[in-house]
Amino acid sequence: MNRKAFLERGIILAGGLAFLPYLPGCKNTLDNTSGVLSDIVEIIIPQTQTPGGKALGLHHFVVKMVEDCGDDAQQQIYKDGLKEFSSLFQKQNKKDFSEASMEDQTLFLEEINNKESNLNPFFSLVKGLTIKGYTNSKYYMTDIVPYELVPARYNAFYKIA
Amino acid sequence: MFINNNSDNKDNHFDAIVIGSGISGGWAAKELAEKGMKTLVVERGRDVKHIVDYPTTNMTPYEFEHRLDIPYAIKKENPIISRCYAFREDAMHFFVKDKEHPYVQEKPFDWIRGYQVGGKSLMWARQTQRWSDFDFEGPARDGFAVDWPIRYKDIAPWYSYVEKFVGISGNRDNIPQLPDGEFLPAYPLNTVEEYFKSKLGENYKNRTVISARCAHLSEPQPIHLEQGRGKCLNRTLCQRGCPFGGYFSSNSSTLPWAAKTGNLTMITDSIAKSILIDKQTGKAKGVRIINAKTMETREYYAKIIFVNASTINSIALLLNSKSQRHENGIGNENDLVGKFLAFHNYSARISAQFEGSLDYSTDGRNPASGGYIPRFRNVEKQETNFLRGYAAGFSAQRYTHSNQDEIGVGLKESLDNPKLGIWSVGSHMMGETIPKASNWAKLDEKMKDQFGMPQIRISVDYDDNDRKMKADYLDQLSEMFEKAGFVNIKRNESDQAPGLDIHEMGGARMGKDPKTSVLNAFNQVHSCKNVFVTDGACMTSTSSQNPSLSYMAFTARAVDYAVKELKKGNL
Repeated sequence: MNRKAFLERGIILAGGLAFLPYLPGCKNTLDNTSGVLSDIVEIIIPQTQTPGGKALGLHHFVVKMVEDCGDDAQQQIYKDGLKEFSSLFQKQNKKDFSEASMEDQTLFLEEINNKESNLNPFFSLVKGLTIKGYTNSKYYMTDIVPYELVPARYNAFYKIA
Repeated sequence: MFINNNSDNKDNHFDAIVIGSGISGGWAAKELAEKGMKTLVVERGRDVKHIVDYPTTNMTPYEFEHRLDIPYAIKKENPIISRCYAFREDAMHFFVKDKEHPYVQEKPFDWIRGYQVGGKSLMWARQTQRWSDFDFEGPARDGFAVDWPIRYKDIAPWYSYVEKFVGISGNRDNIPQLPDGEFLPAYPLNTVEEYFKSKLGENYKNRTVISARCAHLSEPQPIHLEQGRGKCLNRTLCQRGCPFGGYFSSNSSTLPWAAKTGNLTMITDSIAKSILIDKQTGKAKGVRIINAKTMETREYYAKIIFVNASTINSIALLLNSKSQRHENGIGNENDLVGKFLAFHNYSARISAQFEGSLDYSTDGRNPASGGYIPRFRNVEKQETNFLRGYAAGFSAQRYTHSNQDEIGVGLKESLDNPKLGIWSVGSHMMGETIPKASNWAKLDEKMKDQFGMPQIRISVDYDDNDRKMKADYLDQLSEMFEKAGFVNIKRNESDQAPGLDIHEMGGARMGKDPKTSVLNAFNQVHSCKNVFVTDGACMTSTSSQNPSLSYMAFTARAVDYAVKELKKGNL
């Protein structure tokens, strides 16, 4: 049986299984300047023909992970970084990040992504969690790289075409 | 506190009591019940019913709030259990949290526990290799511990007996130090695992890689279907509990089988406080239980007691069972209970990459987790500067990668089109350790737990032999990897404490002489003939093979003996 047939069989099996959707929720212990964060995740993973960071709710995921799973140092990096991020943008562009054009926002983020600065730890934390949230989202694990709950096979010599 | 001493109550009387429902307790229950013995199983934790109580078993990664990560607050509160590889969001409910059941660490010891019906058989790594006479003759040949009172021929038929019921996948590899068993078809080695095997064959006389032998139903037989278990469907989510019964656990196999006989009674949330001793005969007459919810104490009576509480808790129960006839605890006339506690040295790993075989990958998942390198050091004779040897895991796989440098559309495209990387290979060490009197567990004289029972104090450490063996593993595996043309070889030495291997063994060792051992050749306490200890506590030495299969075989053999002795009137 080929891979596709196996996949289809897996999906049929998985279709009958209980489903508990992931509901994003925040404890709000961290300053969730969600306008800023939702813009950031959207620029990291933009909407194209397919959903982007904002539509996938990755800003909720980032906050949840920092709040619940981040250690003390990471929480501090997040809190301080978000403040510094906003004030630096304000200083350079004379307006709030959320009110700026997508071009200006993108330029600013590209700069942080590509150059050494104090904001690197904050941005790599947010970027890392955005990527994790994206590649572990229901959308990605269904449409892009389908996750198989029940593979029902092990081919030890899988020839790559 | 209410103490029910009503020994006339029929509800409290059984033929046999089994303390613990994990991998060995489940076997004791099955064997006793099948032989017509009215059997009570006492489990300290909560009930976990097969399938019904596996809440995460059908969840996809994105259904977990933290995508399988453990929240920081839980990690901070539970540093010990957080070090266990399987303590993740999907199975954390099956592990004991540090705070729930404290113990005293004289030296660092990561005690990994599963207090529930099925014990750790729910989350075990399912590797099942037989021991051989190279193991059972080890202490006598190399002059440590005491001679095992049995040899391979004594246990071999019992390995066969349990293997047929459990379902073990594997190949008949014809390796003297790793005897063949009753196997279901093996999970095959993949392209690079086979390649490494062929390179080992070219370069060494006695080194090889075999398909890891594991307790998975690769091809269920009628006996497995009769248990309600089906074929393993390669989910490799075993630690959550398997809805198909694809791997062996007490919950999916032995306990429901025992229940079907009509001879099984199980009580949960019931902590065995002590074994009761008959003043006249000096034999055990029952068990005193504390109800973990109500704190009430109750007594149950039986002709035979099987102690399967897990290595260190079995030691503690024997020590806590003090009476006129056994002032020092059961079996402890020689002051040996708790001593010669040993473990497996898992503190080294090695990883590398292989740039060949790029036209092949794998598809689906391998529940056996890859290959197994049987022990090759000091097998036929002593040949290194350390005693005994190590086995090793070996596996190869190709991971996918995406370039994550950019942000924006470029990043998204890269994430949406992951590329298959080259082969990654890895190995981990499984070293035999030498049991010593200086490695022990005992009852703390002051500290009590929430049930008023003495806390357990543990003092176990690595020794010079362990350190030399670890260095040798890293040297030998590096050389084996180099000779196979692997690149980017990385040695990974972990400073993990003993215990994290989850293979603690000994403390009530078997032996021929009551002066130097606690149990005889049938796991029977020398000085208390109707008490049997058949979990890890009984182990005289540790071998380098995983121990669970041996616990199961010892248990089935001991029950057979115990019931025959009972019928002869010897107990």
